[in-house]
Amino acid sequence: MTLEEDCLAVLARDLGPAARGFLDRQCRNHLKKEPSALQKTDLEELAKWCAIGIQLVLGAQVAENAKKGILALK
Amino acid sequence: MKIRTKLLLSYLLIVGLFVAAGATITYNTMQVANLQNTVKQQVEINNNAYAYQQGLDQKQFGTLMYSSDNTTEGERIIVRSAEIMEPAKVYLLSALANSPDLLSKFNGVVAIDSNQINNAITQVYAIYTSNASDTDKYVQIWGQLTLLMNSVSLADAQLAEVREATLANVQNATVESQNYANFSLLLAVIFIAVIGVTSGILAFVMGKRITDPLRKLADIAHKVSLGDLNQRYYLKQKIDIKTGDEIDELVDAFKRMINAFRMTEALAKEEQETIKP
Repeated sequence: MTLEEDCLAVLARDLGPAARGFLDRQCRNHLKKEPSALQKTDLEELAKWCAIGIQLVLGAQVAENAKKGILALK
Repeated sequence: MKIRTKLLLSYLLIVGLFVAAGATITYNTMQVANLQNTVKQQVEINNNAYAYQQGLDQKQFGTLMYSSDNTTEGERIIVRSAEIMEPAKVYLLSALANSPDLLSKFNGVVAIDSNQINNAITQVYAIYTSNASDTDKYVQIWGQLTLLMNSVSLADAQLAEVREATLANVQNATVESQNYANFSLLLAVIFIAVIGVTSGILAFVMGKRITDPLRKLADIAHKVSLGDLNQRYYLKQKIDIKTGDEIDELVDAFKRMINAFRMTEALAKEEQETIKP
């Protein structure tokens, strides 16, 4: 599995089919790169922005879950 | 625990109760059957003891007839009595093998018959066919007949004791059998009540534990279907759905679905705002 697919799997646990669109958005807007170009070094930044984005829409607990999941991929 | 496991355990509990009830009642029925066999055997012993008693009485009567000059008829009756007594004796010696007291009494009767009664009959025959005077014959025969009648009375009394014992055994077995039957009836009623109550409680509890969360979930699904996406919070905060089975998995999937709706909606709104001039 690629890192993109791993991140998608983590996000899909809480976001289901919306995980793909959300990951694309966070990568392009905040990391300035395509999800397919994700590197392990990007994970910390990605986890931070995913947590911020999810907290705004779904709340702190879901955000914390997603952040932990992404950081675990390091 | 999965719903299937819960239902299976409930089913096994009910089946277990049925098996326990069946085993207990079957055991009691077997005991009753054994007691019926005992009753049958005791009745058979009683009948044979009675036959032996009748044989002794006939033997006495035949000897009286023989000594009263009815020799042919007397001999016929004596032979007939032996035919009655022999099979009864064989049966009783075998059947009473497990009852030492009764066997001892019957052996006493057989001894009286072999030694005293048959001896008296032989003596009567010998005196009757002797060349003694009629007066002497009468006196001697009367003496032997007295001995014979006393011996038959003694044997009758002992056989009566055997028969009384068998009747007492029949009575005890009947009472015991009745007790088993009553106990079986009581057990059946108790088991039916226990199984009925247990089944009712299990059906109520299991039904409630399965349908209550589903009803709540259906209510939320209804609201979500009408566009109320805040139901995610409702799921999380207002409803404590924790059943430990497939319903938990359904709730998780439902939460994920509502999250997806909300996130998709948020992303779409953002895109719309970006597109606006």
